Amino acid sequence: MRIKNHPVLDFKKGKKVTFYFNGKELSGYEGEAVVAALHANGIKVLSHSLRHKRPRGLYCAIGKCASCMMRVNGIDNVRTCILPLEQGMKIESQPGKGELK
Amino acid sequence: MYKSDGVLQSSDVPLPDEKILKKGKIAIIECVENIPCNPCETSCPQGAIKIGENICDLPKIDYSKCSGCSLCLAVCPGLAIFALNKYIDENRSEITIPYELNTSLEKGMTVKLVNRSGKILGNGEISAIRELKIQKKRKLVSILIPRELINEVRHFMV
Amino acid sequence: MMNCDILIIGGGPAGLEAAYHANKMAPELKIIIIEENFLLGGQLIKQTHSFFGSKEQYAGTRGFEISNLLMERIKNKENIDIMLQTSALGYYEPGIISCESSEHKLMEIKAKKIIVATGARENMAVFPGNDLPGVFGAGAAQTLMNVYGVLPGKKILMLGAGNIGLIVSYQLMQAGAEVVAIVEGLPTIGGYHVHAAKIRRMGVPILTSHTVIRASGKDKLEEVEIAGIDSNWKINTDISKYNVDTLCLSVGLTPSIELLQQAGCRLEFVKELGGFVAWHNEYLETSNPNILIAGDVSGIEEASTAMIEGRVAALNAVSKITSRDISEEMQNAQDSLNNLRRGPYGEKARLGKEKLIAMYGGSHV
Repeated sequence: MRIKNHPVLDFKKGKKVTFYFNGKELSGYEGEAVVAALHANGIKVLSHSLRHKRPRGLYCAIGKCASCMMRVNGIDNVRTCILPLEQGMKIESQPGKGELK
Repeated sequence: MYKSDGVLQSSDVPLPDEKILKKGKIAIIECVENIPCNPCETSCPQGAIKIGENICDLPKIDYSKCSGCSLCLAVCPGLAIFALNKYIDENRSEITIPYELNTSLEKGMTVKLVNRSGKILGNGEISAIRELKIQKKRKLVSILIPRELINEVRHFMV
Repeated sequence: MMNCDILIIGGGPAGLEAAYHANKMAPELKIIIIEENFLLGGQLIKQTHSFFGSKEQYAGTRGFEISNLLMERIKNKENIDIMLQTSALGYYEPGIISCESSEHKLMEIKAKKIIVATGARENMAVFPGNDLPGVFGAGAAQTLMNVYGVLPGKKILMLGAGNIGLIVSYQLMQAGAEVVAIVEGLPTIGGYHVHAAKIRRMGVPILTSHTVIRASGKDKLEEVEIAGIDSNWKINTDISKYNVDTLCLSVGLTPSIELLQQAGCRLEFVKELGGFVAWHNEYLETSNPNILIAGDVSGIEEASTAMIEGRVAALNAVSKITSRDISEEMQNAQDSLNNLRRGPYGEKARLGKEKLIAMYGGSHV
């Protein structure tokens, strides 16, 4: 959910872009962190754990915990909390440990 | 005890003497811990606030110098400074509260008066809203309140 | 291989100040800052509240405005290069850092002095369901709402009443969320009273001597159970349930020492500093003569102390590389640090640093 009025902050947004999450087309703003764009679209479950398939979501948001790793444009293990969104980005839940390409 | 519930009792922060309260609008500082911090001292144009060389010492106001200008309200990082005018009119007092929440406010609006533990005590009327250059986005909201609540009201709700 | 005089790893307040002061003291030195995020400013960019301290540390100015000031003063400086989205991968003797560049290429930077200012990470709390989406570190809630303008959730429970728990709860209310309660395991509130006072007069209860027992929900957080605890952390009340979509954990920070560990720096466990830190002296030298540290990585403290430590590390690096006399500036910086560490809230860090420096006789490297 995007904050419309904040008592202290003015949010400067880049231009609106479309991107894809597991094939679904969504919109966000260029330059914001990918996880922020996902959360703004109501997406909190980013992937599932390896063995027990427990839902995984954002934890630290600064690249230090590995909870937000996803496959971005075909590359695995990308920390989506410190990745700026670009037009046409393909974000996918990573199946398992990821492959080194 | 404020360390376990986050709420100061009125007796922890007694108001200055009647003699001082009769002078008009003055600042009161509800700062009880030794935190390294002194923007109130450095911002006061009258030099009325003293902390000293050890910036962990508590601020003390010299009421012979305090003009109630409210610059200290605008800079205090803890939003712990308020302004009072106990005898603003025959029946009421005026309290000025530093405010940084997301609500549209207007002079003349009726608001609910709230104490230090979040309890609603009654109603008051907004008499003024200022925003000083020294701290943009912080509103200094002055509210007319029943005089007996002068050491109780420290917040308001719309 | 790139070469430089001073390589600063981390673009938060410690790193930015290190760059500024090194450049001010010795503008001919080539300085590189590498930052793994795509934004500079560290944790400062998320702080909407105005800061404590003295004028020198920008007291009274909002955190994100301080961050802008720090970035402004190193922008366009001829010999300061900033590389964003660049992650340090490892240290090699003598003074080489391998990193992943923003183009995903491997590169090496050789420096005469390296200042590691990698900050800290949030701790986890242990209870069933702590891995559910919707359970964030408090800093993550802050990042989402204050940097990106996205509300982390509508109904929030905060675990931890230290400064971060209190401040983030207040900021969540400012952003339009409802904080239903702050839960704190200790019998007292750890953060500044003024932060607690703000949130209490907004009607948010602070439940001391309580803890989170369980978090549950299908796919994401829906309910949190809490209970009262005694001084032995045993449950001594009935369980209360809160329907919330967000649980923020603010249960302490741990210095991010991975690079220092890999570099073979001597590590010591100092509880007062947040856990394992690289041994260092008051000039922020570690056991590796090429590596200095600054900020939360050297011990959990504040942005104000991080800024001054950046300055101390920079002065030290400059004096070793150029043989300039920095003694007066160093004394000023040390005095500033000592002033900030006076008082009850500075005691922990002060004791921690003293403990550390006293080990091995507190000698210079």
